[in-house]
Amino acid sequence: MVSRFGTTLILAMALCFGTGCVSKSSTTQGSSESFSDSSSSPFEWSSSSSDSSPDDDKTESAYERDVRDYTASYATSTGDVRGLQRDLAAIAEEYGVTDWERHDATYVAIGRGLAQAASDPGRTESLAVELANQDHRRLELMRVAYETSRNR
Amino acid sequence: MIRSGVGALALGLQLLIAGTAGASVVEFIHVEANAGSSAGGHAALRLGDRVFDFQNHEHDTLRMRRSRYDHFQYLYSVLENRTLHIARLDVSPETADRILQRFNRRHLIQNKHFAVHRSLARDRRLIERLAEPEKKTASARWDVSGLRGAGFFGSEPGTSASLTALRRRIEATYGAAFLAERLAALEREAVSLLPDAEVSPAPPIDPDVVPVVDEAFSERYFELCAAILAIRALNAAAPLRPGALLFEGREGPSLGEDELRRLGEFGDHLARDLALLAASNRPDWGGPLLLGMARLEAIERSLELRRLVVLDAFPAEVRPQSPRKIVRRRPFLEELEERARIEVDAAWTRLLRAEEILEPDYAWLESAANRHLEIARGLAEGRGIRLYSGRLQPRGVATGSNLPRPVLSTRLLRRADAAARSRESAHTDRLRQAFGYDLLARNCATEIFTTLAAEFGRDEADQRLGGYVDPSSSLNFVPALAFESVLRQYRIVEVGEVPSYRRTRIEALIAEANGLTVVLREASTLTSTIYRWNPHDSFFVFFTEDVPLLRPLLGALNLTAAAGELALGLLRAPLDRGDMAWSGMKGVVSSLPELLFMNLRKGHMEYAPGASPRTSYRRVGRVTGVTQWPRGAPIKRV
Repeated sequence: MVSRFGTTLILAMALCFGTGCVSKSSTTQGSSESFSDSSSSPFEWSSSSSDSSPDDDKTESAYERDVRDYTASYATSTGDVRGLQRDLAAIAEEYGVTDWERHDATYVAIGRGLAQAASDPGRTESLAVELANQDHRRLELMRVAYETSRNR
Repeated sequence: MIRSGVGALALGLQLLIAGTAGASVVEFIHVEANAGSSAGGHAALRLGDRVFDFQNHEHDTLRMRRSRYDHFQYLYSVLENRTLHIARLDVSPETADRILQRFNRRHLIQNKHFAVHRSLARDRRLIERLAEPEKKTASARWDVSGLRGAGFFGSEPGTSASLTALRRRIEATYGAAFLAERLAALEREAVSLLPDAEVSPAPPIDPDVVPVVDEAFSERYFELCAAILAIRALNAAAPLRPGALLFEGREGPSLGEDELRRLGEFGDHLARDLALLAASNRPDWGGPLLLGMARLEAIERSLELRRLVVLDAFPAEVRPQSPRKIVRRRPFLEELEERARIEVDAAWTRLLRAEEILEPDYAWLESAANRHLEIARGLAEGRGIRLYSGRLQPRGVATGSNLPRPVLSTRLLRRADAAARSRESAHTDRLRQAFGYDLLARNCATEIFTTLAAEFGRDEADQRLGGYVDPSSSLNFVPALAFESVLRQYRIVEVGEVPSYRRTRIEALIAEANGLTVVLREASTLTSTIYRWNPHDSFFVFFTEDVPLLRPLLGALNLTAAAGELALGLLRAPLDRGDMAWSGMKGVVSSLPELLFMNLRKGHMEYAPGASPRTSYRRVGRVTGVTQWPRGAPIKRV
């Protein structure tokens, strides 16, 4: 598709000017002004109009995926629960959620993430218990999601 | 205009609803070059409705960016006028999911590594402020600037009925002394908070491992300050500060009975949730509580006035555009206003239909209303307009008054200051080591293959992708050649492109009118009906993208024009600080390749009128009847 002459020129240009890992518009006001972004829409946050079901990860939202993936990575580290809470807050904020503890979707995703991590059962349990903060419903959401994911 | 807004929104919603989080589509994208820092082209990987690419970032690092595909397409093919070449990979859903998971995890973990760096910088700044001579001798209390949430409530006279009710609810649930005890504990912790004065060696950064870091001194201190301010506001039932609301006194449109009822219901739920938040064990509960209480006030005001009242959600750093610029860009702003209004309608529809209104539902309305009211009021009143495309969330960043100051000896402060500097510097080095940009070894193209290689070794890549692209192979750092490698090595089901906005419009115009007239007219920036000169481009006369044979000739004319701009710029340098000369210099550099039959410059669009999406995908070739693509064979075209 690219001729030898073209290849040489591309290479020369790349070496002379860099390979363009900067989007000019993304660093100027151009894009920020011109793109009327609808990313604040809650559709990315929630997989449906209601909150998540622990055994339905096929319709997982982007928010749930992020919480699951990050929890899975975090659980294999030695970080404490406060660190995870802060990091979850940062992730949730990207989706317009500041009070992430109030949403079932968060705990379902955490349960799935803990299952993916397959880390020491003691650590899994201690993270889940501390995140639940004496709320049995949260603990149950995490447990069901955890077991469903593990059995899949 | 209205149709275009509806189109834009409809597309956005379709993508959002249909896309969710899966990676049904895996595509390697090569973005053609443009003038300036984009001269070598760009590369990205699309996974479902997300695109991952790597961009230069602070400290000479290369940072993974995740965006929505429609945004990426708009940014590159429309605003940057660059054609996207797309190779769709033939992979199983399981393989697609593993790729998405690897990229997603790395993105989240990399964000954490950079957040650690910001936190270390905040530590240093806070320690520096504590060590200032006037601060050391000051009383046990001080004012803390740059505090999130501090801008919502002040000490203005008046009482908030909603905060009074919230305080009573909290006291009824947890006891009359709960808030006082929690406040006292927060104050004690803030006073006794100690920075880490020792530096222990940290391991090198692993892009797949979450860093384990000690609680940052500044992070904890700011959390405590926010929580103290939240309880103080609750105790005083403080009204909102002037300026916290958007267009206070000239609020949004009037609301119907259904809208008022739903807002009231959300207010009730919010009050219930805030009472629980006040007793949360999460370390950062103060900030969300302040924001929630401020929203509660805005809702109460909405119900009183029967008009939509929202918090001002624009970041403080967003400056209004000058009225002169607004006049020049009025058609664009009118289009944005229409899109924003449609988004407000969509947010209301969601709010009215939702079984239970949740925080993101309200946040969407708040964000959309901010965007719409800002533009509508600006256009109507001829005042400056703030524009911001990112998520609008009220932050209330301001100075918090009379907060407890950590008690630290001069000696400890000196040691902590040295340790903070050392930690920050060491982390910067580690960031560079792990993510440092290198033209040949670590750039936007190589990092895609490196990330794929982290997930699949050579044998597994053969099986799952059809082949293996070596990230360190000699020429794969050039995006166009990386694309060639992808076509040769991986199993490809389809090859396509998204032509640039200018190409798309020219093709549409040729279909409607005399082709020769269109081509001649659109060949020059002076006569083009598609392109309008804007400050993103140096001055040039001819587009050379579509005329390879005439390129050296037109390039020479462009070079002459750029040299003229440079000469004029040198004369004007004392007046414009060399801006015009610099632009002319860039024009010269962009014109030189044209003399060698090479086109880089495509021209940028400041905005593009018309229906969304303004550019679209089309198939160029499809691989048929091939399940295992033979390595090195040229791609079949249909």
